[in-house]
Amino acid sequence: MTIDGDVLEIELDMDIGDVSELKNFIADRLEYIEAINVIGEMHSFSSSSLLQLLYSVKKTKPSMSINIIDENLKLTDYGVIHWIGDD
Amino acid sequence: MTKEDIREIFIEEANEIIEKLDVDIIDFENNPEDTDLLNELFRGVHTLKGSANSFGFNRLGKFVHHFEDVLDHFRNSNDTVSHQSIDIFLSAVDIIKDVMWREIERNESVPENYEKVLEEIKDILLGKREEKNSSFELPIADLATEFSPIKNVPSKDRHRYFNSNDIDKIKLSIKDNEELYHISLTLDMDIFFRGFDHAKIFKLLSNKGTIVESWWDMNDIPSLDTLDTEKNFIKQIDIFFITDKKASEIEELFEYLDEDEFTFDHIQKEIVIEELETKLEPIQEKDIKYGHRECDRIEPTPHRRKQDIKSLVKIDTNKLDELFDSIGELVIAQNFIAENEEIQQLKSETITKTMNTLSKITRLIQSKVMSLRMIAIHDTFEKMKRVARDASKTVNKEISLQIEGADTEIDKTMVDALSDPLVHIIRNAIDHGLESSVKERIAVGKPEVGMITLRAFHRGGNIAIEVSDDGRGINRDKVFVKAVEKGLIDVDEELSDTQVFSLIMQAGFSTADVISDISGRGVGLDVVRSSIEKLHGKIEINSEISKGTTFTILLPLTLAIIDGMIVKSANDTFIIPTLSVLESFIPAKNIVHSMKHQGEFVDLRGEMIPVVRLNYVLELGDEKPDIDKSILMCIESDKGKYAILVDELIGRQQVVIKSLGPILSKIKELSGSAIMGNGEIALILNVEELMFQRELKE
Repeated sequence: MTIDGDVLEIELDMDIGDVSELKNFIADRLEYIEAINVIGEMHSFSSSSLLQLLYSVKKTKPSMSINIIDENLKLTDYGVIHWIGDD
Repeated sequence: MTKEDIREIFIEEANEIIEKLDVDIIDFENNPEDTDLLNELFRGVHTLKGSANSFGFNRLGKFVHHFEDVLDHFRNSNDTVSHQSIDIFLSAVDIIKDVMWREIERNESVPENYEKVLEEIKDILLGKREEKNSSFELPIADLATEFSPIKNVPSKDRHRYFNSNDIDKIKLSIKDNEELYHISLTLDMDIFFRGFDHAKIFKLLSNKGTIVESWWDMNDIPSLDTLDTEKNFIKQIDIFFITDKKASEIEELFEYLDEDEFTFDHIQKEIVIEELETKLEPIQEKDIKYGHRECDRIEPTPHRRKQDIKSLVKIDTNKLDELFDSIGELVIAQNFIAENEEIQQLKSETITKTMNTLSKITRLIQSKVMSLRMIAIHDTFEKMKRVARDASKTVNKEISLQIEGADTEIDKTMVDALSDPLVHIIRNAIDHGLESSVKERIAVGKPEVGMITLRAFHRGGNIAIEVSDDGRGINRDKVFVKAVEKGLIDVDEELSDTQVFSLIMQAGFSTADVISDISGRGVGLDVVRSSIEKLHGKIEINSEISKGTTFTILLPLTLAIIDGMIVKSANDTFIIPTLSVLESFIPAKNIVHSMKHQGEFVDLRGEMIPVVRLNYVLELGDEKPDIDKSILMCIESDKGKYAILVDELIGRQQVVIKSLGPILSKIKELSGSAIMGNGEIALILNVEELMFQRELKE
């Protein structure tokens, strides 16, 4: 996980413990983070908790750019993920 | 926190959800267009299901699961909820309440009509499915007919975000030796805690075949400030999976999930190409939002009443009581200092100022702590909607329930105790207060629909709760005659209308053979009266023939403090609740009369009022103070007016009520005690009993 100015870069292979820390990290910096980019290999994800966290961030701050939430997520091992939300 | 502690929290939260179901269902019946309300209802049931299963409340979980399915169907379709369905929903809530109670008690049985209502719930959905099946012309468009369950896994009527076009496209990737399966996951909130994760299922599936596409319902994901990353908020995931493995081999992957957490369906792979070509529609870029086309959306599910969510902390009421007791002690100590003669003799301006400041702050704290116990009567009134609905259906009378002043605040302890008396009065109003038929109402020029009004408001430092009906009213003369027959009053007694109407709440009046036009009015009302008296309150009844009846429950603002008149008798201090005091006076000798075997009476403006000598009924010595040198406190009780004779009237004061010990509480003439500013203990008089004791002694 790296943060460069207002862009946070993370990878998909976070377990639930990492997600909890990531939530606290983002919550403290929500005001100035403008984008979260998921980088690295797009084969699979380690915990759905990460995906719900990113969705929650998007819901809380709709202006935030999150590459895997803003569009369908295409994973080599898990096919295409369509997000169904109320926003 | 122990497992038992967590169970207790679950029970408390589950009860809150269950209590709200009734209210939401009735509100939804009145506002069937309110999809927010339906969603809220669904969310409550969904949460209840998840929690019930987590805590091993399996009978509750099973029942709620089916109820959730029905609600889910209605919120995801344009079908309207009929009144018959509302009846079944309400019956379902009754079952849920009963089963919940049995689960808490670890009672293995189920309610008698558990299976019956469960079947009715299932039938609603079955009926809707049958309607749907018959309405589809294209077999390929009807996914329900396309899915063939592999085995007896219950196929839930879950929301389907994908459409037949999506399936047809997926089918194009199936090879000859492969089959297509639809897996729908609705994992419970505690799934991470159970060591499972959607990711694990995806991994297991990808080892056995190809996950082509999945639809993730993220509607229940909360905002960041309320998100608990260790709980699952992903409502549903629909996975389309192609494999050459046997179905049984795939199904083994779900063995760690509860039966209601997944469905596993085989999809026929035949495809009608011609139909597909005509049905496929290009996806426009502008339609795509969060990876899903706007045109496929059934309806948005915005979070209801977000603005209503306040930062709240739950506190055990026992802790509040302890805090309130401590504040009461503080007030007493502060009064003790303020009235201390040695301190008063100091005549220091600084000390006086400090004392005043201390007094001010103490009263401010007392007032704030008091307010912690106060809650709006809204929830209790909302529950009455169900009571009114059930009663009106039972007696087949159409009614309109009007609620006013629901934001009036009342002591929490009182709210809990008020519910049963209100239920009773409302049922009586509908059953016996209103005319028995529409014809009867029309004949006297009233609207067809009977009106019941429930109203709360402040009256003279007390809370008043009124239940009014616009029915036929109570016949005063008939009540009077009946009361004489029952021996409750003498035929020559002069009673006001209110006193006569109050007779219907006397225990002796409560018989089944009461006269026809007030039939039932007396049944159980004595119990209502005693419940209200336990709250240091009283009930007034006003009625007018052909216009209706109003029951007014008058309650003190709180059970913890009482507004009292401080009096002295035989050198002891007593408190008479101000609510019962009509007036006080020093009688002239010539208005006092004695009657043989009936005691003393005072002629108050032409009305003969019995006199109760306090020192005599409480056996506080043999002295008989001169009546013209004493004070008479005129009291209004259920049995009529009477006057308490005391030596001295000190004044009016709000006092913190202290309960009597186990021995003193047996003395019926006393209802509590209070510590006065000088440290002296004063006993609070039970004015309803004093008159009774006088009669016994005479």
